[in-house]
Amino acid sequence: MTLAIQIEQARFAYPPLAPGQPAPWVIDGLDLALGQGEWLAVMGASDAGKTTLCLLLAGLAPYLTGGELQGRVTVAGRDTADHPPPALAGVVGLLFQEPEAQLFNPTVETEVAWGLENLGLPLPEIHSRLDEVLALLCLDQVRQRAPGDLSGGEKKRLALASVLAMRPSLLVLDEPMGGLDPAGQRDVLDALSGLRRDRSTTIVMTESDPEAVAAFADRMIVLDGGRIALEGTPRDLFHRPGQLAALGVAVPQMARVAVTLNEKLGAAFSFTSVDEARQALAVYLG
Amino acid sequence: MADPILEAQGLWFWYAGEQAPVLRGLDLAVPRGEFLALVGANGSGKTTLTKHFNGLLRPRRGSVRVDGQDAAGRSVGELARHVGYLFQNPEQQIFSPTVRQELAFGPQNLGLSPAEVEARVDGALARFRLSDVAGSPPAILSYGLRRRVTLASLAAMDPPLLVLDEPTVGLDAPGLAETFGWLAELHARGRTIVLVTHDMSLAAEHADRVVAMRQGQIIASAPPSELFRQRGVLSQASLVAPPVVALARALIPLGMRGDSRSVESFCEEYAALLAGRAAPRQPREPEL
Amino acid sequence: MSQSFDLYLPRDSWLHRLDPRAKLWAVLLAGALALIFRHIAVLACLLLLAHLVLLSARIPAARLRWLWGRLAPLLLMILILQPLFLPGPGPDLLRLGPVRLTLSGILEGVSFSLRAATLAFVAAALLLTTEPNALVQGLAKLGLPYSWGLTVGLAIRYLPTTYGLYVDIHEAQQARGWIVGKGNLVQRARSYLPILVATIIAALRLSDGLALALAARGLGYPAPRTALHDVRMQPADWLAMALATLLFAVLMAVRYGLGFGANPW
Repeated sequence: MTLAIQIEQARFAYPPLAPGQPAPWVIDGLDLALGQGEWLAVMGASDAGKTTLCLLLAGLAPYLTGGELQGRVTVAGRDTADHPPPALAGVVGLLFQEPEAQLFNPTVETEVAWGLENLGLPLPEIHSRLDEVLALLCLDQVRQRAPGDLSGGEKKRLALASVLAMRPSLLVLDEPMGGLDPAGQRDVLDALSGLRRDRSTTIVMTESDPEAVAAFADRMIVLDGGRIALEGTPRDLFHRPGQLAALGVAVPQMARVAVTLNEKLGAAFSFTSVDEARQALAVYLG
Repeated sequence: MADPILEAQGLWFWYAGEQAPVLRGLDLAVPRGEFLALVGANGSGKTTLTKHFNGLLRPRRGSVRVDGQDAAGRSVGELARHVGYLFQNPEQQIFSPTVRQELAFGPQNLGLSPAEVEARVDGALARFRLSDVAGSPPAILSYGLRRRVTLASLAAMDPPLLVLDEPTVGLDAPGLAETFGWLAELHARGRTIVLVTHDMSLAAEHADRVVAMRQGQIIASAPPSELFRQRGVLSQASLVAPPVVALARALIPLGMRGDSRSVESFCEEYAALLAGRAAPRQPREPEL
Repeated sequence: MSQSFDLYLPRDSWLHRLDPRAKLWAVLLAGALALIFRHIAVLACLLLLAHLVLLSARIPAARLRWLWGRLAPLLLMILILQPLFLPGPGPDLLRLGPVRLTLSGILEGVSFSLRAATLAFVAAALLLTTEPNALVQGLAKLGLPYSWGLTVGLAIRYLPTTYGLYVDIHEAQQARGWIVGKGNLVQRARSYLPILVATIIAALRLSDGLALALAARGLGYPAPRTALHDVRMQPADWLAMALATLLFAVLMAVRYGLGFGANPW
């Protein structure tokens, strides 16, 4: 079975600002293997290389960004060094953090269709995918609306729809919760969990908000200085707040409660959601 | 209240050419030295309200008083002496050739002497660990560093009142810790802070008082623990209680008070409750 | 947060329904006329025609007023500077040292500013009533490579975004105590520097990000592009083009046949 992602000994540096200036390795010795259908969360401080990893997975680095890549990045069996990013567009879908930088069509409908037009799909195919994806992300009511008139959550869903319509087998999301209020975050999380339930898309998500990660990710890696410093399940890693704090990663409140109580009471709590916590703690009170 | 640093009375605002008012007859008084969290869903009018504090917007009806005087007739530049404002995406404002010049921009605008400007800039560089990059162009620094530059720029102006509009967007955990560590310092030194956010965990943990807005009106104004006891308010403002608050409330039937603001206070209460229930193996005093 | 000002206003009107290529043709002809004629009456008529066309296309008067508001500084500058720097022949109306003011100079100024206004409103007639993607598609059908047409479309689409950035940054610098637009002309111009520099940087970052997003969604995919909304010339479009050409021909005859219209008055 082909792995969804295989990164071997990758090192990547952006081009220097001027010739002769240093070009530090932003990714510095990364190995990663991810199976089809898995959901990986990538955490780390803001300059740890999370966004660069997303660009590498989509083949945008080094092809468009310039710079030097050592090692190999393979997505869905394709080596990104051999495929320019547009050719990977039907395989890897990348969602950027800023909606402004990726929503540029006049209506929701044309926005979602744009990528499909690029792929040269026949019109009936475009129409059927449009209907499917707009329904999936609850955007059919606003089909003719201008993207600028949508709420934050709707814009994110639109960006997601425009990427999903291309039916990628790997979805890479760069800080999907960024800039959203709780209602918007709920929108996006519902959409993503629906996705995971109905298709077996592989998902890689960089995120600073630990609550979202705890709720959905199967696996989690923490980047530091361009390489993987910690690897495991979210449940496992979130119960090491000391290590995470040193790496610049926030911990969900419930995990912090568990760890703090374990220290205070010599207990062995392990919960990541409010319900789990309530059940576990009620036992000792009731 | 005697001499609030900020006072809005009967404040109405609507954008030219738009029918729906964004602020509807709002009254707000902020005492000096308060750490106020202004919360509400996107579109509730939080940012529109705060832009009245430094004169970027002017009331259509009603009045705004800043630091004891009516804001009307005072320019934005003049009000900048009293009110420091950190916008969303603050790194967009960066334009200077060096970090040092960027930090000097605000103090220079305030008309401080070169010696004073120098002192402020050096202080801000040190406080935000930017001394190494003082001579570098800020625009090409990494995102985290640029964020620090904007905080340092605000710090260099040292205003008595600070407004921060959603400062946590795009911040990682260390950035968050640094920002709130600095705000806590300022608070301890008597500065007034208005934090606009939809993150209730932050509001709960740091604010003296939380003001919740909905559709241009204030629907609640109370200390965080009290606010969480008012069940309807959060959902009306489309806000979500922090997980630890939800957990504390869920355990009320079993003896918890239900007003924890933070992980630490929740755990202390829980441990104390347990110690009270079971035969104490090791007597534990709740840490105050 | 910045408001969004989209140039394109979707409406159900005859002008909106015309093929972008037909509109482009009419706009080019109208633009040429505005450049060829200097007579104030002719230019005023063209300007009036542009307004009538726009109003009949259900563009709200408020939007036209907004456009006049944006043009006003430029037009005022032309009206004032043109007569002062290029006084025409004829008797002086006023003399202040080396500066002469003549009637012909004033008329030239009026003519020039009318021309600028006409060009602006003719361009507006195209941009307000043409869906950006349709315009790009039209250009593609005229033989322009898709990426060129997309560049034009994106430039138009991102004008409001860039303006929004400018507004946000203007506020941010003011909030740092910076005073914009005070003092003499030179001081005034320099006061915009902190805003302009920051806006350019922010716009460059945005365009960088956009380039990545475009590639990630398949721009440049090795297959011929299809189009959701195809543009096809209908009889109405040919008719519109014919009418525009006729008007152009008539006016050209007036200009070069009768020799009328070269002078402002």
